[in-house]
Amino acid sequence: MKLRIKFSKIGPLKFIGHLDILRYFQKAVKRADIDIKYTEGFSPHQIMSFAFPMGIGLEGLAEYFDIEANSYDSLEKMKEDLDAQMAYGMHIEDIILLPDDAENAMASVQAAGYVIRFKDTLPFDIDKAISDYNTKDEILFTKKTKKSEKTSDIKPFIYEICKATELPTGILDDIKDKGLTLSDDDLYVLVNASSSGNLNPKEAVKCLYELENAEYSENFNLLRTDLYTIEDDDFISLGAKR
Amino acid sequence: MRELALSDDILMQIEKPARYIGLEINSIMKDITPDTLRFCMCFPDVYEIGMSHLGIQILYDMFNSFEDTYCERVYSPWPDLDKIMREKDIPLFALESQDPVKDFDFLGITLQYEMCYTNILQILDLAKIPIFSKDRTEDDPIVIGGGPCSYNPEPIAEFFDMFYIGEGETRYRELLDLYKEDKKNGVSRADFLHHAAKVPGIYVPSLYDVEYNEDGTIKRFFPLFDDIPATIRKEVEEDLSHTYYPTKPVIPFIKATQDRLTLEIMRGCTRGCRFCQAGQLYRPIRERDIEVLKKYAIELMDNTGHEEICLSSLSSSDYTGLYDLLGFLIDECTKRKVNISLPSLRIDSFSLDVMNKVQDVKKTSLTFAAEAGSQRLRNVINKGLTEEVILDGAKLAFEGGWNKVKFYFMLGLPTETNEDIEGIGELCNKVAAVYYETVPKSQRNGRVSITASTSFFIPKPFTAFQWSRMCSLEEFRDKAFTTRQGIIKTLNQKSIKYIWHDTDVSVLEGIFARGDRKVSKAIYKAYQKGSFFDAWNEFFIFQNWLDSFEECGIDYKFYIDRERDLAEILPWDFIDIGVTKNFLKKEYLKAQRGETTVNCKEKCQMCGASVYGSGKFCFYK
Repeated sequence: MKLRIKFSKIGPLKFIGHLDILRYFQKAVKRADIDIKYTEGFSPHQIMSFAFPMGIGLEGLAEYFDIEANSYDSLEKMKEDLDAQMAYGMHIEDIILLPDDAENAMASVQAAGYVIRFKDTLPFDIDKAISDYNTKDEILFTKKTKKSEKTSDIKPFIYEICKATELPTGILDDIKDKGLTLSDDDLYVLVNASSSGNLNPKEAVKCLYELENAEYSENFNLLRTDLYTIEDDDFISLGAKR
Repeated sequence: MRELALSDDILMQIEKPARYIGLEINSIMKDITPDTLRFCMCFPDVYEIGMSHLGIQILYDMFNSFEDTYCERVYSPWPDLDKIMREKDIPLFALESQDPVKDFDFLGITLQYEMCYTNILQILDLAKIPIFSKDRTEDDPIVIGGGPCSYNPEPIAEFFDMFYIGEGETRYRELLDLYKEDKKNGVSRADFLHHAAKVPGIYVPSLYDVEYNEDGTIKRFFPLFDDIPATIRKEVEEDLSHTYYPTKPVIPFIKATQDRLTLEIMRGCTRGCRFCQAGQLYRPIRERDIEVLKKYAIELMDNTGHEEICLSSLSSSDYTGLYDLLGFLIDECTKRKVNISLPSLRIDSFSLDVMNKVQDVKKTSLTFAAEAGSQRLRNVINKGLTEEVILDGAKLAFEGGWNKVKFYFMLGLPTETNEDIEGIGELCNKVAAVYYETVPKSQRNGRVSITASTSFFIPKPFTAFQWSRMCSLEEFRDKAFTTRQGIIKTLNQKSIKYIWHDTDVSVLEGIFARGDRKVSKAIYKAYQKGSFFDAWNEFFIFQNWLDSFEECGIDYKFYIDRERDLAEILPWDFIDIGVTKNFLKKEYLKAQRGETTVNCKEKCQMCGASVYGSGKFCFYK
């Protein structure tokens, strides 16, 4: 049976990279005595796949990985057992039973929400920047990679930009519960996170700086609020029960 | 929320920030009160190396089992962070509380290899603790050293307030109680050190002095007070089955160099290889009870979720319950999908059978520590491994499906000749030939792969070769060249790969291993010139060291390039490890004659280690 594990990672553990988090969960699953399925072959490993790797420095309210289990008593107990194995700042938020034909977490991810918490006062007015962004039909933005530069319209990759304080109460409460505070300047972006059109949220922030002719500096903390799949133009959380 | 000693900005700039944040699973968080005894345990190398070390985990577990004590950890900040800490004046901090190391009562530094000596100075410097013991005040922690290199502590004596000679399980409680009592009574640092010098196993270098002869050798080594011992007897844990064992070891987030659980099955070794320091230091041999080990193994796996467990000892094949223990482990580990790793196992049908069950034959290679290329030289070093045993083992292995073999050899052993060195190539060639004879063409999976790896022999204190001359750089290079030529000459040379280790580092290690107090000046000087992480090729600058010795007026060749007189007072003679100097002398002389000494399980050699446990660990036949 397929299970989806939803977890949060807040605080110093943001400095642990994706591969180490993977190893951390492999051990945690063993300590929690979860009856996880292993691959066949000479060096069997746990069947476990993550929705979206977290880079160093990123915190997350709702991250996901899928496992296959042979058996379990109750999801509630499994959640408690696994949560008891977490290090400081990490929690198991939920465990969801998936239908057998469910698409795996990674393939499901199409969008990701980020709260950008600025450490200093912004060199521009955030309300004006958002309204400038919204009034433009097209924003040409140059993406620099190691190999090339590509200029294209960034807007199709950004589904939403708003002030973080304007987020729905549910998310605001979650943020507060984790001991994080929001200031009036903080930003929320919902961006494309699919394998074909993934946009780094930092590019969205950079785009606002360019729009306001301000010099960009990476002076902010990134918090991923959730991951979504898109169905009929609706953004549905990977943690939604159905 | 938890405050880190380093800002987010710094942590985002440096490599592997996880080295510095603590919070690992099974790390211990305690409330700190003004009465808490705070012990900071340091492994003076990078985090991933330090976290692979069992000794620190044992002591961490022991100290934290004391209610009044909180033991935390610190490792050497990597050069990227080192630079930032100096620029921004950030004091060195312990991982758990993230508090400055300077605030602790004790700073314990484990001395696992000589090349970490400059890193000790880095630790002290970053912690803002005066480098020299004599400059420390009541505000500084007591700096205590331990581990294998403390058996010749003299080259670093001036940096330490005290050394703990021997196994940590026995005397720390006594030392902490003394510290608490003295602190309560307002006793000065100097007086506490004096009191501590009376605790068995504790060596306080500042309370001893050395006089030298004109030729630089030691004339006299003596205590400055009548009430402290003139010799320090090593401490030994006599009951390994009922003592501390870390069954909840700290699990690092990032991959440690040895990314596995360690089950230490015994201490000591009965084989008596004459080059081996550990074989003498850890005598007498003591096994842990098999039932205790089984219990530990299960707890270790349950408490960590680790994927691999490793048996640890100097010679695991000699553990009396090995067969039963491995049978048990194979069952339990298969159930839990845990790998078993078996280093230091003699290659025979039993061990091959076990390895077949626990490892992927295609991926692993078998290792023979032959140490010398000829039987003559193997006799000199008393390595009881014959060519016949090696070839038989190789044949069995090839029949079992292995086709990778690794050999370890040493170059520069006492009495070595070019014929001995050429023996390395010949032995490898014979093993390759065994492969082609044993495995039919149709079953061969490509060529057999033989790796010969040589290191340079460094005479160590408390071995039969503690008097021996060590080769010079040039000799070492010639020997490596001769080895290579010897291999190229052989028929199967295409199947043999040759690897050798760097010579410069070996020379320095040789100086430190048998150095005296005078050497400390040069270590300090080299550190000032920017030397640290000397164990890391990319940071090792030999010229710094040559300059430092010269500026300090030290002829470094004095420490390596001479055969010592048997009557000479050696810098470590004041330490008593049980094994007597007389026994080592006999071994030294037997080595010159090429005579071997049998395993002490066969016949007691009267080495002296039977003073521990009133001889109950020894074999009298």
